Amino acid sequence: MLTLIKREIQDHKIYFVMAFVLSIIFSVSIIAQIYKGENEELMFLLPFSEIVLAVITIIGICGLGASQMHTDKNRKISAFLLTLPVTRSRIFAARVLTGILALLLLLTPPAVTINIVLAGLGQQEATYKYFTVEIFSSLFLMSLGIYCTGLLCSLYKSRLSATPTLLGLILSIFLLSLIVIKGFGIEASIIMFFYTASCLTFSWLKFNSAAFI
Amino acid sequence: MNDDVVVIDGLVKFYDGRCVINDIGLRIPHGCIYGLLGRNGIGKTTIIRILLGLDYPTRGKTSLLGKDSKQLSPRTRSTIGYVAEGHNMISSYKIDRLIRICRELSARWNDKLFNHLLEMFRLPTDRLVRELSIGMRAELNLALAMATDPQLLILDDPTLGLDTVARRQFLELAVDLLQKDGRTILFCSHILSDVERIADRIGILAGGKLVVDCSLEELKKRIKKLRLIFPEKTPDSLYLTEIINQQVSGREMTITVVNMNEKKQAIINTFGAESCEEIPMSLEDIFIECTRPKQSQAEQII
Repeated sequence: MLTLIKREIQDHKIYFVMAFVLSIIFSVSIIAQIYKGENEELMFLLPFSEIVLAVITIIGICGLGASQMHTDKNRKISAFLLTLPVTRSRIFAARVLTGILALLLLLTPPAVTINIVLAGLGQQEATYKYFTVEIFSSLFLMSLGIYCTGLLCSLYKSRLSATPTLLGLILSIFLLSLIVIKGFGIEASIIMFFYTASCLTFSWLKFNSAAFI
Repeated sequence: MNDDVVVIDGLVKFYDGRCVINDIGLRIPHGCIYGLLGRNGIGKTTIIRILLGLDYPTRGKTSLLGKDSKQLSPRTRSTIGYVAEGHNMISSYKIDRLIRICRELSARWNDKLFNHLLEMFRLPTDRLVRELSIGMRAELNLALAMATDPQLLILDDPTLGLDTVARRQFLELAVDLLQKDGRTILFCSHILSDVERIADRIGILAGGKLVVDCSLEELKKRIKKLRLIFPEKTPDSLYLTEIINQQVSGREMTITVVNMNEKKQAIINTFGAESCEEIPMSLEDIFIECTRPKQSQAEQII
């Protein structure tokens, strides 16, 4: 399994570099948000830069899922791996675990940064809980949902768009609107959990079918 | 103890409502080189994929090394070498990376044998897979499959795209390396000369059925092609069973008969043929006779 995960990471290292860079930018941005004070220039720039960063992040996350399945199909990676003592379930599990690792690399540093900064400011326990549990879990599930949308879209021939990432992005807008409407919290997390689970199930069924390889 | 390495029982496979494989049964004993023949798209690769658990049968059971194909564990799979059709290796990888992945994923990796094969094939390890010629790719694929020390080697059209010399070298090497240790090879091809050279036993697929399953010697002994010349008109029918092909041209009739014997010869003689001459048949001739379209409705010949 480790070999398979290592292979996935090496093949998609650009996404991991991107996740790392974005996580640093988000961490810095969080610090800036908390300490921005009355700096007008910063107050004007931050929301704009955050939207741009969020768009880049969503494209990146969706792109990772799409790229994993798309390169597999194009380069016949699974077709080769299955000639070795490897099962389809292991290939798929390694792929999804790699995606989760990339998401953790993206989200963990900002979450840790928030905790450290809040601890420094002497905030109450409820604030920590809100930031670490509710926001982090909602963001993680949303990212996972977008990632799984990318996986799923690249498995189907799309008439709606030329590239699987584009179709995935269209579907991701619905996920984002959920957060906008419902906000972070347990309700949004449950919906996203089921969305992610169904995306993963359909991806697995498609990947496990003889037609894929 | 069951000595059969490959077992197929009542295998049926439908694709899009079309029956591709129709009730096939096959057993390959330990140490046998089995050549599975058939025209393009007849289902050879499908059978191999079902055997390896990569595809699912509509009905029937298959097993490899005594284990159900649907539940082949990585441990069992590590005792099976598989060279897939078209030598699809990850073309964007460097060869040494591909080797490293194969080594790490294989439970039984024989470094000594693999390095020996690399030297023998003179394969460069610092190049990308896509930079290799088809022949080199086939050699690399074979080396990767052999390095796992397989008890069973499955070769799906491994010599496709190779020139005559490379093809012969490839097959002789595969046989040399594997058969001296009494291992089993399931070899799938439509290059008949290759099969004729190395196979102990032959199976011919036609119309979704395994119409022939016997040794090469037996096959040649049991299928005969006769040219009969009649003094006047040829009879409409010779009233013989097991005629798989019959062609008439003027006074001449050519028939291909299975299980030719004295009794059948006596029946032919009653029609008063001027001459009855046996036409020597190569495996290619037999293959063509067995896979003629009308054979698609036939049951097993041998």
